[in-house]
Amino acid sequence: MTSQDSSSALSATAPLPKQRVKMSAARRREAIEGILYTSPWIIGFLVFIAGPLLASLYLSFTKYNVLRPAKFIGLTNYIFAFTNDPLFLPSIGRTFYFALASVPLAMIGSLFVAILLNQKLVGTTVWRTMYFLPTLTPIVAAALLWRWMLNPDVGLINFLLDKIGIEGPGWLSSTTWAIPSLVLMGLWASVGGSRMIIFLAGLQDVPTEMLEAAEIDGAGTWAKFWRITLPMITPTVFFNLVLGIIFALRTFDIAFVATAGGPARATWFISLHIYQNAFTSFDMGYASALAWVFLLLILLLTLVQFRLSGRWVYYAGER
Amino acid sequence: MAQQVVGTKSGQRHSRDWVVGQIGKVSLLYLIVAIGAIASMFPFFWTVVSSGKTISELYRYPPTFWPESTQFVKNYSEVWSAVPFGRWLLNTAWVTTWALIGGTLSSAIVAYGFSRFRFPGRDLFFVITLGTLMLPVEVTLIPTYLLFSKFNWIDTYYPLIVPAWFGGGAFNIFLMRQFLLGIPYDLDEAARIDGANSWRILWQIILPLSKPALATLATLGFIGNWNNFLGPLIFLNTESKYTVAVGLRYLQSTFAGGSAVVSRPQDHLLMAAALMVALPCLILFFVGQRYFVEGIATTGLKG
Amino acid sequence: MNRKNAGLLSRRQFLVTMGAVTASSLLVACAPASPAAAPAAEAPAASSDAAPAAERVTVRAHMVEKQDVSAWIQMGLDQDIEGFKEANPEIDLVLETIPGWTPEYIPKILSFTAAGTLGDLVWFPPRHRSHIAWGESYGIVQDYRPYADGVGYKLEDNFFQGAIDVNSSGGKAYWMSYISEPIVPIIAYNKTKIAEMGLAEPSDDWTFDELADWAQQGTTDDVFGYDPADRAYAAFSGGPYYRQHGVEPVNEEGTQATFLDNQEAFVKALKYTYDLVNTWKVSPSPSAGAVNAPEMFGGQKVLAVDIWPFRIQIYPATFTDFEIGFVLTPVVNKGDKRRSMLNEHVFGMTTASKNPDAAFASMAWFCGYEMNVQALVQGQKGPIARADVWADERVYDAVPTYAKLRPIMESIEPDYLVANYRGDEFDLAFAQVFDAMQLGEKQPEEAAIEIQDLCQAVLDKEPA
Repeated sequence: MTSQDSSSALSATAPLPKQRVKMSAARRREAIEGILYTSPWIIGFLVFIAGPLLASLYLSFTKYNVLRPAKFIGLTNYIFAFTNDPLFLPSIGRTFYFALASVPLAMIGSLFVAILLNQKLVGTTVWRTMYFLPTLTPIVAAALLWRWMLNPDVGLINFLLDKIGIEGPGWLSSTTWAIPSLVLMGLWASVGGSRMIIFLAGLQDVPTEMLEAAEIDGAGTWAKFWRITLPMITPTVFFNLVLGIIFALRTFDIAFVATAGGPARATWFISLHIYQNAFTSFDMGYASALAWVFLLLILLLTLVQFRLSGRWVYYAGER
Repeated sequence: MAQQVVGTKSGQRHSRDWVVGQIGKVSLLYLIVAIGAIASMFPFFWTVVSSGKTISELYRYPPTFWPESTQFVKNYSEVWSAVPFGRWLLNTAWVTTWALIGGTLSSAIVAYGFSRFRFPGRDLFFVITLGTLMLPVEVTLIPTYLLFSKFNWIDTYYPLIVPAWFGGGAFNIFLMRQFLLGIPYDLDEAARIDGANSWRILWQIILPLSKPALATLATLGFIGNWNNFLGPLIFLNTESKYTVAVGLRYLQSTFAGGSAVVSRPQDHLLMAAALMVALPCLILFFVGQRYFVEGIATTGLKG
Repeated sequence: MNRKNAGLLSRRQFLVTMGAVTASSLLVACAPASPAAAPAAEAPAASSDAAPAAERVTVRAHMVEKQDVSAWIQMGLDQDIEGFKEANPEIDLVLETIPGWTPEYIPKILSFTAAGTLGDLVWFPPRHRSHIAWGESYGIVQDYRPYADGVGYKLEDNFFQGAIDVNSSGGKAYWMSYISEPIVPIIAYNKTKIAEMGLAEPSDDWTFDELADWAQQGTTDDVFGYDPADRAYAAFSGGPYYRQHGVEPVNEEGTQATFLDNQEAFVKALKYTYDLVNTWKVSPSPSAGAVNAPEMFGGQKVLAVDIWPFRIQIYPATFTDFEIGFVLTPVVNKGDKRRSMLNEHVFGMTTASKNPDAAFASMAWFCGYEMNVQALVQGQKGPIARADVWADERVYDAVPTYAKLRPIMESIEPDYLVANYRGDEFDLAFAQVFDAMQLGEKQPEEAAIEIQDLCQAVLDKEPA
């Protein structure tokens, strides 16, 4: 189907007379329509999300344990976080280390798998399902398996390393290797998962005749990838990058289940610190302050990415 | 690439070396794909195997690669008799269906608003939208609970379904927006010149062109809703209303603060239950995935 | 092609369809809530017909879904132990169970409390008496003594004094013991494998040095000799171990860390655990968070492990490939007095309770005599701090190993107090240093000082 087809089909069903309108009126109409289309979310945001969001912002300026009325204490929580909490700043550092180690690998890995599975393979359906399986393996089951694989004394990985003469590290039982182990576990769980699926969907937007034309011009596989495929899927790359960073920075489950923040706080991420303050120490006010500091950090990072995106993300339909 | 192999059979012009080279390339491709697939499969396979073992055998070192005890039937039926699993499956299917329909439809509409129209405050609101993904859920959990309890929605499925109908959340909106931004605006303008209004453009041009995106959204939405744990845990109280993700915890041995907490080791049952929870997602993915790759890929829009 | 199909649908048709779909789906969305809620709503009505004389009261008890908590209480109800249902026909006892552990349970309880919908009874597994805050400063639970007095129930006739003390503050009884046990007092060992290897069986009067020697003999390429397992990871489960060495973690007021009051003994205690992993290498590498000791012991990779009492019944039932023996944990010097620390799961009556008398009756039944003898005999739950239960021969017929625990339990020492109720934080601070030492990154001498400092920093924080 081409665009001509669709427009002719449209003109056949809707031959409305068109009036010339002033530019500003058109813009106003556009704005009204845009707000109308966005309104379900605007309403949903105001009704379901804005309240709790603002509540947590307010509570970050209070001493509040949920059970007793909140007491306003100004910036005390924020000051305490930066001056008196020996766990807060290191936990932020650790979280960024985890994100820095996992996001690039995850992006490259998923894109590679998506391209691989976008080839015309026999049994594509089965291959894709196999790659997707880790996403469907519940984290509790996966954690059990990984604990066995990474066990320093009797685990499979160190057993294999031993066979080729390498003394394996302690993995989850090592302050140095705990985060790389979590990165490894996270990669396995997600390389063929939703990120890959999103890339795969993005790859469908790459017009085949452009690739064919390039081929006729003598472009090799590599050149086609850099000059056509990659630029065409930048919107999905951007999406996966922005959300990949957000989710990596918010990592909670995997550390909670596999290491509980240990050993020796080696995987004590900011999310665990917030959780512990909120639900173990009943310091909901303080936890809210930590959460908002964290939110501002991610927001800043995301804004920078949006600012830079103009230089490398290509939108065919940008307005 | 498989087609290229077919092509070489008919095309006699190619030299022998070229043919051998092509076959080599294709074999290499399959080899890489297969290695990755096996690595991905392994943990799932291990879960399947474990779900048929006794607990003693599950903990054996070195592990057995096929259960000696093979008590698949016993383990699976034990899960069904130990907990109201069927009821939970039905509940989960119910919640997932409605949340999914609402989330997919409404996020497509909202993303259309964000990507195709210019209005004041659009970009700021979009950033705020993304901001909702950044605040750790722990600190909004209780205010949200209070909100829903004011609506009298506690212990109903409303908190799990209704919000999805209002935009489907920031993840969906952002994803859909990215895809819509990839569709050339010329199409809209052409349709507009032909007299189509924006609603019509959405339904007759934009959405049909977004089938891979919608399929992606729907699949991820299904899996997300199906496995949602925190929402059902907090907003539901009655055991018979629970969803499978919450129910799974019934079978999980618990560890707290580094010391094991009273619980009989029953990881073999956990594995069996986990597989049963994963199965619907697996089937859906297997059946639904062809839609990921259908759509405009072959239509050849202008670049 | 689909585009053409879509083109057949006019905008109005579409709007109508969408509207209908939306409206009907929102309507139907609430449907399953009602049928599920219906039986609950009908039940009291139906029973009030049956017993019009007594007014029905509902007692909602919040607890985790666990074999020895909710599952056992439900079994007790089904068996109508002590004739609870017969004696209290007007009480509808509803167990509101939450799957998981405190990470799932606490957010639920906080939500209920904030929304004012908390039920009548709450369960809790305290750490260093953090549960007292639930009565004193959070106001979730109330003093149940008046209700006990009202029905002539004497706490002192039911529970060991020590268990009453740890659950009370300022003369107010906030909590009642449900599961009470000495913390990690027992070593489980693989009888079958020890016999195969020609090793002696461990003995109840062993010292730590004897255990270490034995573990070194038992360690081969294939198997580890001994793993402190259940006690190794926290200032909580290790409590009795440090006391046995003459180290008390905090002062009586719960405000000062006192690890260094007997510094030599504390360093010695730390060094022993350090040597197990790093010097003698008789224990597997410490694993963070998720304890895999049951897997290692069940997989016959460790000969002997320290365990919680509840495992005395569960291990033999679970690991059927080999025979298991039990001995008391060692002492420092032959004949030392055996030290201990109490671990409990408790129930409390909420300040929100609308039927406090019925709530008290239910709680007293959870923690009653026959209920808890049966729990032990039927192998469903651990012991309780009741003299009558510990004096009952049926218990020892069912679980002979409990005879070893009896003298410990009869002179059980309380958990130490963390006065600002930050018990979990205290344990985490301890574990942070302890983990690093076990991984060989810190020497025991250094670790001792750092533990003191970090734990003191937690004690210095404002009350939670």
